[in-house]
Amino acid sequence: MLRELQTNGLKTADAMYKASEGMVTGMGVIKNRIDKTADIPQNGTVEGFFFVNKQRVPTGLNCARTDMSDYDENFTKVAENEFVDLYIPEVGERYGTDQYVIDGLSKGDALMIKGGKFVKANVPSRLIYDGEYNDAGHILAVVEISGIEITN
Amino acid sequence: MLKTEIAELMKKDGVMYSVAQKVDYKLNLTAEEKEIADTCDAWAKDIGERGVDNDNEIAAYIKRTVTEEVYNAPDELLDRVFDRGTVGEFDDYEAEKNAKNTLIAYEAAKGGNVDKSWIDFSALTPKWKNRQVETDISYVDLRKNGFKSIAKLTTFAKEALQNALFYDVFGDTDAAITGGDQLISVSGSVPTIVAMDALELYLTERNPDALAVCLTKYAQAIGRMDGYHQYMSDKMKDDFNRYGIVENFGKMGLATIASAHKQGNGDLLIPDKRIFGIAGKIGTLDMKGDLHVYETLDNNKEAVNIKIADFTYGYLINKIENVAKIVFS
Repeated sequence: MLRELQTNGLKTADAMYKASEGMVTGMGVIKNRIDKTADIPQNGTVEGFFFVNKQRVPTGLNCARTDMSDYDENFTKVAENEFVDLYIPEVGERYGTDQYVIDGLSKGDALMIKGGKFVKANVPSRLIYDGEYNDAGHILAVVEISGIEITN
Repeated sequence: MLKTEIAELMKKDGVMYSVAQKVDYKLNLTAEEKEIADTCDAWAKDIGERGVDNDNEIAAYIKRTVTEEVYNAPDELLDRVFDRGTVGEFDDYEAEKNAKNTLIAYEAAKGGNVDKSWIDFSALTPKWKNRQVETDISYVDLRKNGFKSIAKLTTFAKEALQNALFYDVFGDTDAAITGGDQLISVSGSVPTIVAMDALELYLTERNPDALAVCLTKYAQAIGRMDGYHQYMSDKMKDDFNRYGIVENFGKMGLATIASAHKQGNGDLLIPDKRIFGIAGKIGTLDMKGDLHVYETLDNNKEAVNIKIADFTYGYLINKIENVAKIVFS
């Protein structure tokens, strides 16, 4: 799940890339320009990444349901080769994502992306962990993009 | 005053679009159409000068014409091959495949049992695709060319979306034919009588109204096949010499698609090195939801960003036996 807590409006979101493997909205991914796919970075990535999101259009039997939670798997799970929207993080923006690992994290720590998820960084990074956010019962990590690099 | 005139014109189906096309293709306009073109010119220049399009008229104009001519356009060839329909934006469907009779009748002695056998149903889900066109018009263009720039945009958006749909569907139909009697291979780059006979036999056995589809270069090559002239009647020879392409082969008709007509990205409309044969409907093709046109005025860059989105279609091929193809090497 990706929530835009505070973001700049009217940015473009590249919608021309497919997911190279199954992934979840809210992950950080990198562009593979040769295959035109969004790949999950395995090593610690701190820049040049995009947030994955998709439109909440129900498929299959879910079409018979009028109201669905935004957290429903139909809306958060992305299948391999499904087209995704890639959001560009900018300095000053705050995002909420549930794709994170809490181990060792405390407010103000730098984050990096491993396996698509935000984890405590062991390199200098501009991504700051700003605590947890309770979204109607779902816990998200607040990721803020800072203007300067922080080292843990 | 300008706004009411445009609004009235837009209410009449198809008027704005046909004028746009005529302007774009440089055909002669009637007196009434000239008036329409002038009014639209003034309206477009008005937007270019003030940088405001309060009633989002550009978007309304594009949506009206694109929706009428493209999205619901009854493309005849696709109509022959697919059952066409529409579903709502938040609908979905699946198709049931008729169960085959897989019950087995064993020879058996009387008074005992044989192995059980069963029948099974399977469901097919359609393949959904979504296409989108984005472009911008600068205010300078609006002031300078007026009506003409929006006309070009609508015509091209229509063609891009329609061509992409056509190519998608035919490309997948092509990939679904992988062997058996439906696949006729020819080593060479021109059709042969043997291959054309095989195609005609396969198709007309299933449906006497069968149709073959190919690029014009193959329709021309059919007329020049080795040894074919001896089977042509005088009338057929006259027609071939006059029109340059063959329109029938045996009982099956031949529909041609110009190889000069290409999509915006340079692709041909149907795959090259193929002649397709259609004996009947092979599945369903549905449009999902409505087309949406979004307009963002950027006064800083002095341009209007136009996004034509939600051209969503889904197709399902469940009777692939109704199609055959000849593949050239």
